[in-house]
Amino acid sequence: MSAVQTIVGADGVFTVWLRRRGLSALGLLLLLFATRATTERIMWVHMVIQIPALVSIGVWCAGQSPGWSVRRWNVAGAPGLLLASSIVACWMVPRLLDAAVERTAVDALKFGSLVLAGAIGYWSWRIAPTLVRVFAAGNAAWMMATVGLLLLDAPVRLCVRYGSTDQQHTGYALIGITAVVIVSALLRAGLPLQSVPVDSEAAGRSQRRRA
Amino acid sequence: MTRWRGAVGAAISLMLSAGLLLGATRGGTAFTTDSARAADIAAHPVLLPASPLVDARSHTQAFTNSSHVTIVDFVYTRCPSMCGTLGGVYQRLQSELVRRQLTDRVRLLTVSFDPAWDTPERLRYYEMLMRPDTAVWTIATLRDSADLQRVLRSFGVRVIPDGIGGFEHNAALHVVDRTNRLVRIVPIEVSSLDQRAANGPSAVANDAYDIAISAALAVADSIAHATDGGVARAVVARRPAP
Repeated sequence: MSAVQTIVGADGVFTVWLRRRGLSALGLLLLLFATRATTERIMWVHMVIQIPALVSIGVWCAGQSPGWSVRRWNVAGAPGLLLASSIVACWMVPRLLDAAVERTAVDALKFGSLVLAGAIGYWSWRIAPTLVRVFAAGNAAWMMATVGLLLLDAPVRLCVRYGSTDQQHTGYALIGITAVVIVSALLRAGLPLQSVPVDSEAAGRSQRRRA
Repeated sequence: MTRWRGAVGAAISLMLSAGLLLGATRGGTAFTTDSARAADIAAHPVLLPASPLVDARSHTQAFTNSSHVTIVDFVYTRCPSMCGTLGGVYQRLQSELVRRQLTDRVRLLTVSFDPAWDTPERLRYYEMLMRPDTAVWTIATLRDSADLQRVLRSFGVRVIPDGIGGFEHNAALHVVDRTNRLVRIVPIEVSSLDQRAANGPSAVANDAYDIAISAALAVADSIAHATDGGVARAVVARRPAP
């Protein structure tokens, strides 16, 4: 199967996506976009609820991983996880956060790219061995904690659209999320709280063998 | 066969990631809207709208005049934090202008972005507080709210409600040349959380004010000289003498 077929063919990723969860995901996205004036008025709602929600939509509607023909470009899921976390990191830059609030086109780009990041992240996560997973989750946690500490520590407001109190709240919230990410990553990687291999990992391995 | 694809995939991902992050921060130089804006203005000055101002005596004023380079800041007079700081910075700017004998070429302008409260009468109270030499330092506001929005937009000033009846806004010294172009934005890199420094301005804050004052004066002075036809003389004193 060619890479193109894997993505757009009759049973390709894209068509499966559209059939299964595409429409409800699209509805959710439109709802989030319609309420952006409200959700983006408060910094922590923007960074700690809306952005993770967009990534989650990407994860939720990612559907089955692309076949081997696409996957062999994404060895151990590492390139995909790197790209996904870079996309998310970009939207933590205060300048782009401001731009997303002020310009609809930039916000649309944010929506699209974060959903894509969620999907890429999910596809890559499924084929990633535990070592890569731990590294990726650790990296994401480190990134969020750093941004959180920066927000708490900055003597000035970093976003022109948000007040200093709001910035403090966001800092605390990001550090809180970091804790959640670390705990859930430990659970999902099956370390060290679970001794039985996680099902999805086993399924991923057998899928790869079949392809 | 598979190995080269893996290597190419990794390389593409690395390059895309680096490109995205470098693009988002402009190569690590601009993380905030203010710093990006300051760099843009320094590279490409923008022509400002010719909006009439009204001062504390209800006289009409202009943002610039053909004989002076103007240093502009934006405040609202019932501001409890940042504007008090800016007021102090402007008082020191004024005395520096007098000391360096620059008052014939550089002037100061404080603009209130809260005309609903800051009527000319209230601006007069603010003047009593700030004691400007009106030949050097003008305190004014804009009557028309559409004008005000246009001006704030072209200066890149964002005013947001602070939730307790006041505003939060980005503070900087804006240098406007004699042809009404915004040519430089000098940020004041100190705490907008001045409440935090209620136990007296910290040494760090004072340094930041000094740097901003010197930088704004140096820019204004060099522009004034350059447009005089004289040799552009950049008086870059990092710290003014006490």
